Amino acid sequence: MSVPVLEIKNLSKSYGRIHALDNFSLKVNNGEICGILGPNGSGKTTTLGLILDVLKPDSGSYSWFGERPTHLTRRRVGALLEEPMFYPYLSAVNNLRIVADIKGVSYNGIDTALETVGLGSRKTSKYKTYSLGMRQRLAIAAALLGEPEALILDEPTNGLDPKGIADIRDLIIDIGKQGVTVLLASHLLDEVQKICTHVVILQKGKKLNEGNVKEVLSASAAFELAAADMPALRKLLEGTGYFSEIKEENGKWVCVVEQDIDPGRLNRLIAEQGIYLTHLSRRKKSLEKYFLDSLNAQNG
Amino acid sequence: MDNLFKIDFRKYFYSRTFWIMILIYLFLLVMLFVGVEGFLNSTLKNAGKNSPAPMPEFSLYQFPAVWQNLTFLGGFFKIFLGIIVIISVANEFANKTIRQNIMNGMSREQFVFSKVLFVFLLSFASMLILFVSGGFMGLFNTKDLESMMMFQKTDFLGAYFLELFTFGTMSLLIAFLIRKSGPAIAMLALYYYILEPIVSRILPETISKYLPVVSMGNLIDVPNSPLMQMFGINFRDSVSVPDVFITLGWNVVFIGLVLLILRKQDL
Repeated sequence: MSVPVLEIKNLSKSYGRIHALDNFSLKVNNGEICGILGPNGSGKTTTLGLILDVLKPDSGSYSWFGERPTHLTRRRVGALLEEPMFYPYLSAVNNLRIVADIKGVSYNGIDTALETVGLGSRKTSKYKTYSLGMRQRLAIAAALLGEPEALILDEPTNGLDPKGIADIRDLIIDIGKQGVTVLLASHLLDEVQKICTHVVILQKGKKLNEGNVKEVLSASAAFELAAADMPALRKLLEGTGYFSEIKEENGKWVCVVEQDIDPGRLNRLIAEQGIYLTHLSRRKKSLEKYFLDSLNAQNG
Repeated sequence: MDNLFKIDFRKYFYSRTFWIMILIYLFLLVMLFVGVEGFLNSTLKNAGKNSPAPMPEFSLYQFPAVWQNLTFLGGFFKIFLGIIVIISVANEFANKTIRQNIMNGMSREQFVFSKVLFVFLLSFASMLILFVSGGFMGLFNTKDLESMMMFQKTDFLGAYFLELFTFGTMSLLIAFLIRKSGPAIAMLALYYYILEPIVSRILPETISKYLPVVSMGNLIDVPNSPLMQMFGINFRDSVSVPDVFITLGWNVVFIGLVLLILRKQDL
């Protein structure tokens, strides 16, 4: 097993009496796109602030690329934190030149980064004339500068229009495909579901759950089934013992499975009993359901 | 180091606020250095009308006395330098660009160092302005000008630089402590004009001479004027060496505290 890109060990941070982050640990391996999911105020931004040295932890530690974190390891990480933060009187290009100078990389990548986020035509305008969406794009361009080995993105689609959101999502997936490790904080479940390979769920500063997104999403599904003789179908379904719950929805039986079944096998099984399905569809568990289940499990 | 310089240069060069503040400050300095004699002499003339003894007319600009005269006067304007320093730091907090700088890979120490560099350059520029204006005025006003006379007593320029630099690092400390420009400027003015003067009067002189503003001020004593000499008062006409060490010590304290504060705090 190679060294994780980011390893967080028992980080805690409180603001007065509020525990923003409580004993949080996480490993992010090379090439993963890890989503940190949580309601507002759950500690997502605090976590990212800590691993970027913008905030100081009360206890715990973290390492980047297997090394003790310093300003030099930060230069290998591109980051967007909370909100865009730039010099209002400087143009996009000049703001990025400052970023490039700090990172110690050449200015050559600036135009490409600005084109990538769609700011090419406004690159000489002053930052203070930018709309919220444009500011967000500039922050993403700053994060992309200098070919970072890892990217930290805090609510990257904040303030963007639908086209912008789609663009940025595609961009993140693209970057992930190039092997860049991404840590993405979001409260938008749909966003994490579409982009991430791994997910961590935070609530009130505590880690509730974590897993591989594919496994999480396919872990337990439901089937929608219908046939000419609905009561007979129900009786048959109950007899199989596969389903933990069967309920009626829009004239179909919605059958919740605990363990995934191959739909073909299910279809054959029913047909063998002389009932022919008029409808079979498989409901994948959404991340939203997983998320809410995690929260409920904690609270219940 | 040269990279920090480049980064800072870009931060300030395009900032209109910065240029406005700098130009006002430099304009005030030049006006003070060039115009003060005319102002003083006209005041003295008016005062002389009613006095029994004739008021002696004198020139502030004679070499080598010009250096002590101007550096002493220039010291009164250091509050402007302090304000510029505070605004430049507070803006980094207000725009959260300090966060952006740090997360992009600047160390906190480098950030502090870039601000110390800024204070250094401002103080150095002020000293240059004084050197140029004083030099010109001296060349035009010195009777019996001899070669090299211009460079006598230029150690006052060094003392002036040290006074400004120390005041600048003190302003840095206040700026990093308070982070907001309005309250920080108010704090600086409160300390400079009210708190320390009160404290220094309460404390015995053997102790109060170690206070930062007192020691900064003691570097350069009140210049001797013919008027003062008429009353038999004689001030020190050289740079106070003990105060050089005291102010250097304060610089270590101020910069050290800024580093300590920034190392531990959230941004």
